[in-house]
Amino acid sequence: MSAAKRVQQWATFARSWHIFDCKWQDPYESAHVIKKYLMGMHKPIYHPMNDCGDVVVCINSREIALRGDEWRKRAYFHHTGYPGGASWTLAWELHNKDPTMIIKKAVYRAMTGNLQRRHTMQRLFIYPGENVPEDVLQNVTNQIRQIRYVPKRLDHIPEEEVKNYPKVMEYPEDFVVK
Amino acid sequence: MSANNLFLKSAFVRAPLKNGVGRYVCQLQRIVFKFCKSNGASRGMRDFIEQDLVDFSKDNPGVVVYLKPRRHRGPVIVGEYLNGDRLWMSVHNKTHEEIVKWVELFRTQQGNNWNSRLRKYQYTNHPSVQGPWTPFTFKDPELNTAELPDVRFGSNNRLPATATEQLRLMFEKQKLDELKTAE
Amino acid sequence: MALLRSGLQRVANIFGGTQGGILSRFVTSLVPSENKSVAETSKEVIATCNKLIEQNASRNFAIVHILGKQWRVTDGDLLVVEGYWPPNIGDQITLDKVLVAATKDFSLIGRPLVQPGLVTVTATIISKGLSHTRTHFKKKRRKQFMRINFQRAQQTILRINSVEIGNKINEGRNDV
Repeated sequence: MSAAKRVQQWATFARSWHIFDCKWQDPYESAHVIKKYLMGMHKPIYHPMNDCGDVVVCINSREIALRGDEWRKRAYFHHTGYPGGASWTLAWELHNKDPTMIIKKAVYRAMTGNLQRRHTMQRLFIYPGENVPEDVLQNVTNQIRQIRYVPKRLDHIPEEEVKNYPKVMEYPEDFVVK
Repeated sequence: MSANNLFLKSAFVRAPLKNGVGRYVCQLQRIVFKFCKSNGASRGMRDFIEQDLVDFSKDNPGVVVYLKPRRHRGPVIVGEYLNGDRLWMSVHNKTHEEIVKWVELFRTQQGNNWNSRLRKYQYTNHPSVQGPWTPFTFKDPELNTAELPDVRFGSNNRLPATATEQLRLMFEKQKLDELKTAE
Repeated sequence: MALLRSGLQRVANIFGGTQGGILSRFVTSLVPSENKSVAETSKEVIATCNKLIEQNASRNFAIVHILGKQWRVTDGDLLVVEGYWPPNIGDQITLDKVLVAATKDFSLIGRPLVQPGLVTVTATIISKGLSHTRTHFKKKRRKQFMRINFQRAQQTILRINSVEIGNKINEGRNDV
């Protein structure tokens, strides 16, 4: 293989790094998006036998949003292997213990259970907040688009903007907001 | 069931001596018909030889045709090809029509590919004309200078406008129109 | 005028801005770099492409449709077409269903076919044979069900002789 061809090969199969902001995202929905990038299924060169998966960095995993009352209803099962070793952890409990765990498990379950799955998971980095180590962040060249709209909280909008926001009508002075 | 099918060799598409690039050369070089003059199993073969063989050799002047009568042996067709392949086939109890079809197959194919599975159905010397894909093909050039994470690249840009946003747009448009009429 | 400008400024603020603009997610980054009308630009592009065609600058390729399958072909390719197909060995044929024709620098994309007469893809049939024996083996456990079928498909091997963009883009056919 000539030098030019070899460089071409490196360019085509280069591992790129993507960042994904989990803020207000459904982890089970986004897992299917993240999975594609981790396995390289978004590339035209994808083949299950070639190693073309990318690295995905998930940030803000503490601020994921679950649907309905899933925080209270969804249980994560674990069994120690001993009799009576079964345990069920609710989603909110798990999230309090480790805010990266829900998204990690969601991505793990989104992939088919083959020998490659654990190696693919190694390429997933999850951070609970916005703080990402510098050496990770400097590799990132692309951002994965979120699925859901991220709403803005009223108390996060500057007061000036709220005051100047056009209104259809004004509440009367003596109106009591329930 | 024999194990021949279970352990197939695999091969790629190829044509000997760049056949078809400049001109086409028939790949069948020699065909031998072995048959018995009296045995019933060679009946179809004898019919073929009586009715079609002369026409066959007239139509294909590039193919050497041999007849090999042998007493009390089964009828056989053997083809020899330009790439050195030799294809042996028993036509025991085959009818005249069947033999016509098999001989046509012998004539049109380019060698013995019966015991190899094709891995690819295309062969090209130039897999890419416009250049192979890289992770940066068709990427937004703004990503080169962007500091990620960035809301502009991370937010979903395909969502329809919400009612609030539509109202706001209408409001701003109305204001602009008012300004224009004022001026 | 000043009022109007300030109004426009406000609209720009709503749309743009990194954080503040409420409609910032509708802003596309595809801003044209030059102020030229579309008609002018497309004329220039077509002229450049025509020049490239005249110079025969690089290798062409095309995507052709044969027996329900699409193939990317360039000069000297070998294709294996499966199934019954009438052309016989030694025949020179023209593949007319061209979906895309392209050179190194530009692509002509058909909707769905490239305009007839613009691109000529010629091919020679070099072999018509049979595939290896394919075994279809089915078995259901504990159900006394077993089937085995053998089949061989007809295979036609094609040699692509040339992919030529014979005519100029946006001009009438010269062969009619």
